[in-house]
Amino acid sequence: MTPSRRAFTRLAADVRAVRVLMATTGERAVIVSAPPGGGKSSLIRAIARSLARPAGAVVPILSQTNDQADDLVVHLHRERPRLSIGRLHAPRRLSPAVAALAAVPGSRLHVSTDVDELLAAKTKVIVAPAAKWAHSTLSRQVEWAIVDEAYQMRADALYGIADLADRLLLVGDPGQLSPFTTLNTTRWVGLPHSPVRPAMCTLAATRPRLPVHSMAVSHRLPPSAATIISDALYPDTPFIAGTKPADRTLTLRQPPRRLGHQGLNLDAVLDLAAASGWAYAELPARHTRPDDPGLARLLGALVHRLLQRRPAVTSELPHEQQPRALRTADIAVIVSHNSQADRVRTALAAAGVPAGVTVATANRIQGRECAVSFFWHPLSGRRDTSPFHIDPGRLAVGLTRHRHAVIVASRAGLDDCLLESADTDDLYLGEPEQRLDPIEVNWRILNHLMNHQAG
Amino acid sequence: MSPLALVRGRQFERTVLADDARVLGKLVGEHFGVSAHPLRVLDIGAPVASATAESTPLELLRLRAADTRREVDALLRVAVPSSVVVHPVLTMTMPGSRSPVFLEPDALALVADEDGRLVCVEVKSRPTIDGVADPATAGAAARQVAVYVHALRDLLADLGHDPARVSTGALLITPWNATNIAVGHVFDVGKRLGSLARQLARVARIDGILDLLPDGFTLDFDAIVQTLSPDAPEPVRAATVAAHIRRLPANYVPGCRSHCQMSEFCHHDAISTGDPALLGTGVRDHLAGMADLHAAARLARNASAAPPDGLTDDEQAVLYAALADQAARAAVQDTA
Amino acid sequence: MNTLAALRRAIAFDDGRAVPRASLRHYHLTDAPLVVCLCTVAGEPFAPWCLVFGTDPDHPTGSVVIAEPRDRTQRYRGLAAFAEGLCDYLSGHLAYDMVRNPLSGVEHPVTAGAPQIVVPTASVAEALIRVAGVGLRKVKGVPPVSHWCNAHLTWLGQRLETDGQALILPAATALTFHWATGQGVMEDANLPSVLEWLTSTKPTRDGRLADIAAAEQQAWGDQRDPARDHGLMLRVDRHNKADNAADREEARQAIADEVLPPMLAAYRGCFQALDLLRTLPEAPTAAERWTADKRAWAQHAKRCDAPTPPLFTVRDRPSQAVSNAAALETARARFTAQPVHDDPLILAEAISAGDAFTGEVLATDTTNMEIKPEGSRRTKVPLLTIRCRLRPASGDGHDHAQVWWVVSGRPVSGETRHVTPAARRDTDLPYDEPHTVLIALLSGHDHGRRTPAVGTTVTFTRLDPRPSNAIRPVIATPWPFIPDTPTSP
Repeated sequence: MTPSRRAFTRLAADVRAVRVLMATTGERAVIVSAPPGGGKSSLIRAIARSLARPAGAVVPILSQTNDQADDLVVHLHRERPRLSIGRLHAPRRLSPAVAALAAVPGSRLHVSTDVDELLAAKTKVIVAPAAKWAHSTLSRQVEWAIVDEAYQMRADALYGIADLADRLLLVGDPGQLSPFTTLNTTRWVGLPHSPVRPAMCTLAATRPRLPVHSMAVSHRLPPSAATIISDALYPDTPFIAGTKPADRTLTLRQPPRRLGHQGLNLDAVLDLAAASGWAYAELPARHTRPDDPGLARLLGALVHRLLQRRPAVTSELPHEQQPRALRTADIAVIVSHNSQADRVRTALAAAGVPAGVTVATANRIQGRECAVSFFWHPLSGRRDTSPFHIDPGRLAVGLTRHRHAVIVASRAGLDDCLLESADTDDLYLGEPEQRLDPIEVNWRILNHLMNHQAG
Repeated sequence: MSPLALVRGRQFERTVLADDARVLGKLVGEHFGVSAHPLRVLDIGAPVASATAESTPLELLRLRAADTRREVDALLRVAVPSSVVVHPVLTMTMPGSRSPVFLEPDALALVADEDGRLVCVEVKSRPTIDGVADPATAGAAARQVAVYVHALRDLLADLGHDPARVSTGALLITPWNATNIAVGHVFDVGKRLGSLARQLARVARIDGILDLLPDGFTLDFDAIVQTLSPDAPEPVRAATVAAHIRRLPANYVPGCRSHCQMSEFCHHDAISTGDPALLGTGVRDHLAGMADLHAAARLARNASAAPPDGLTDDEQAVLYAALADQAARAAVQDTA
Repeated sequence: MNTLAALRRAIAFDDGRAVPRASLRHYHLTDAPLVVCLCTVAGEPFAPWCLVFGTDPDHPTGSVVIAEPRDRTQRYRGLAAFAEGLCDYLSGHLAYDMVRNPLSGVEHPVTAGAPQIVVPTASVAEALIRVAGVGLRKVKGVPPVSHWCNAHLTWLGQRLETDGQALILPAATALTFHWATGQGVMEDANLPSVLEWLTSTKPTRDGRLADIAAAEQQAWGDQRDPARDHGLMLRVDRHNKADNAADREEARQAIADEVLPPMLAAYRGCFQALDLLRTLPEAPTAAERWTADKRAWAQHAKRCDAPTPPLFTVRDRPSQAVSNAAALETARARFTAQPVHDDPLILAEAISAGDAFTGEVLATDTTNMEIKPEGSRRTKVPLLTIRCRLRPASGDGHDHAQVWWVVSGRPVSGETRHVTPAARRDTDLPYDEPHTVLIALLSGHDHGRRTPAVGTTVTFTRLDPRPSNAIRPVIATPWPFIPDTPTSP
């Protein structure tokens, strides 16, 4: 069986298993936990389509952001142009891309700020962010609502939508960044119904027996990444790669030269990444500003050099059976702060990289995928490990976007930074415990990176 | 910590332990689901029989540690439920170290669930307000208890008991609101135990740490002062000790002032050197690459439309911030 | 934190003098605020308490010393004296009228004004709410005025968490919002040292730093001098061990001699802080926030229009928690954005933080017409080309990021479209990386008549000056928030 055939069967099995859970459980929700690239979106679309089949059925889908809602709508529409889909949106929050699809004469994609209008247009699947759904009421009874990226949802968002349908199908990736609040209040500490907790923690406390289906195969991550990521970041929901090492290749068609940048051999870094799926490039240790221009320039130079060497990939995907040349759109640079993203954009332009490379913070790039990613290590150049910068979720996002290789860049001295991190943290009794020990996770990943140091 | 807080802390602890630890027993019973009456209380802190008037504090600790070892062994063998060991002393030996470190938990309780587990109890005088335990206090208690549990598990293994009989759940006892009424909170140190084990594993040998110290470095201040002439005036003695301490690099951050006794010394040094960390870790990060706060201020004052050549990335960032500031102040002037 | 904020603190440190970080006052101040000072030692709730309060800088209305707060009789008697003073002040603001909103037809209470309580620091505010609020809850045998005091303080305590509110104002917080000192955030929670950064008249930096260091020891805030605490402890001991009334009174007086002078100094310090704040003209949106304060106060006043004080739940119920989280987050977003739009000095920090960018208008196209994504008609969408010295901060990197023109009057919103490198000019700094950004104005531009002129300098920010207060419909607590009680088999 070919890898893509395997992925298809695997997905069908997951969909069947989830449908069985939905049909048999007496509980009011079913949880699906998925690893990065586990086929979560395909599963949601497949289940939405099957729930929409009966005459008169309506399936609400709740995303966490407008971008996610747009993505879902565009994919659903592309797969089944005959299916009547509604994109419910807040005023002035409609993306031009979705508006354009809806404007095509005869399009079965409808957009509106009013859910009743979409119901009147007989749409069968209605997609909107949870925040919009919280202000909309469905004038008819619906058995299931599907929540996408459920682990990114905060409890107060769940509060607003829990009664939208009789029951909820909650789908998400437990390893990514949790939702956060900028409020520094102790007002709800220890309250099981604290509005600023992750919604999934609320459910774990009030409904500990909800049925869970764990998807256990990543179709995105290559085997080189799946094992270490699963061990370090998903100990409770382990997964494997859906492909074998030989199923994918990344080749740099232009041979290496000794191209130095700030004392690093760029080609050595890229060659290692192409060969092993990982590379770690390190600049000399220095305490830097958060937007370290030196590290941004290194990333700019690496991206530029990668494109210059005419990279091509092969994989199990039909359009990658023969080597496919990578374009800028296949590359992402992942950072922690907006200021770092701006520095990287400047550096990319200065290095002569054409437009199209995605540069985004970990928060923004959750759920997205690319062929090769570059990751600005969150602790690079820092004197201390702040809770923000050692968040395991940030590593999880940064190291799980790629199908072929990830290149991590940092200032040296990460080990000292981790060693000197003293635990003086406050403890809020009654709050859910952290799923992982951040320092422990960072050590494991750092050890792995040190084995892939190049340049 | 304020001496007032210390005294009040001891008073509160006495309240909790009064009448054969009636309050403590009640709270253990409440939170671990077992009736704690009648309670058997063993106070290891009470004068040890084998101690003499001449016993040094270190000897007393050793004696109390031996008593603790014996009592814990007996407790686990007989498994007398609802027993409490008050003021026990535990030991922990660092690899390569000659003498053990002594640890003094407030109390250990044997709870009578199916396994007969030992639970650490920590008494703190910062009150629980509206049901919320002071988070700094709880954090400190959790760090302490993780070490106690670690040491206690070693002790159990040594005595031939199952180390798993030490519960990772612990009890924190604090006053309730502005009263002397005690309330308990259960917390789990399982996760912290893991990170503690990892940290200890990294400290392979204590001599490895000692190697990092400057040559001839000591924390025995008498030894330092003895190198001076006996009639050296106090300021000279103080300056000598201070100069000696400064041989160790400091990593001062403002948070130090809320939990470290050395922090006033480091705070003072941070002021005299203009260390950016004086103003917090955020300032330190954003002024990275500046020699000190004075250098940053100088650069800002001299910021102009004709900056010198060859500014570093960091200096450029400061330059543009300073220019934005100048423009804003000019705009304010214009409207005024 | 941003580079400019760090730099302003560095300059203050280098100078030994605070640096203004605002040109306007962003908190409304009333004509007669009630200053309340409370000392609880180092957060130690059992140490002697001392309260000084009043509206006259020279003559406090009252002062209370509670030598042994664990003695209930003493505690309740002392707090009752304060409760009298507080309720007396608040009673002047409790009268309300019901007014019908002509648009919605809904009636709501309106008061003429609102009270303003000023305390030295945020931790004093919290301590006050703890001892005189929580400490008086459900206590039997105290005068009704104490229960009213509890109700008011509990309400004010919850209000305290709303960013930008001015009903209960910590003076040190207000000062350090408007001036950058050369000390850390923790030291900024100490009013005497903050005041010295602003007011020391010593001619040299060393002299000013010495004044500041001395002020830190005055300890009306978080920092306490252990030696003085020790002396206080001995006096408390004497008080508690006194076996006759005369001795006890003498010991109480000794305690008062120790704790009262610094509290009187704190009292004067609060008024000094208010005087300093009054030197700044009030920012336009401060009045708007005060209106929100008054509206909230009027609701409270209406609840208090009853024979017995309203009862406040200590912890939020699920529905309350959800609506409070929304209200607090909206208030935070407002108080983050509005001062940026009002005040160039605060705007400068937003630029440094990457929340705003500034540049020269190169070209405008006020005739451009577009069909907006959700519209069907062509409407006017003026286009601006702005030249920035550096690549403008692009926020979270959205292609069509929402931005607002920093301009007085009605907000003008738009979106950024293309950022492209621009040709250098002779007048550019050697380090400049000039870029142009194309901005489409989407609302508030009055059909293209309200746009910046070519050649002027403009600033755009991604901070929304009017974050909407998304009030969620009140619904019955949904199932995920009700614990599943296991049914026994």
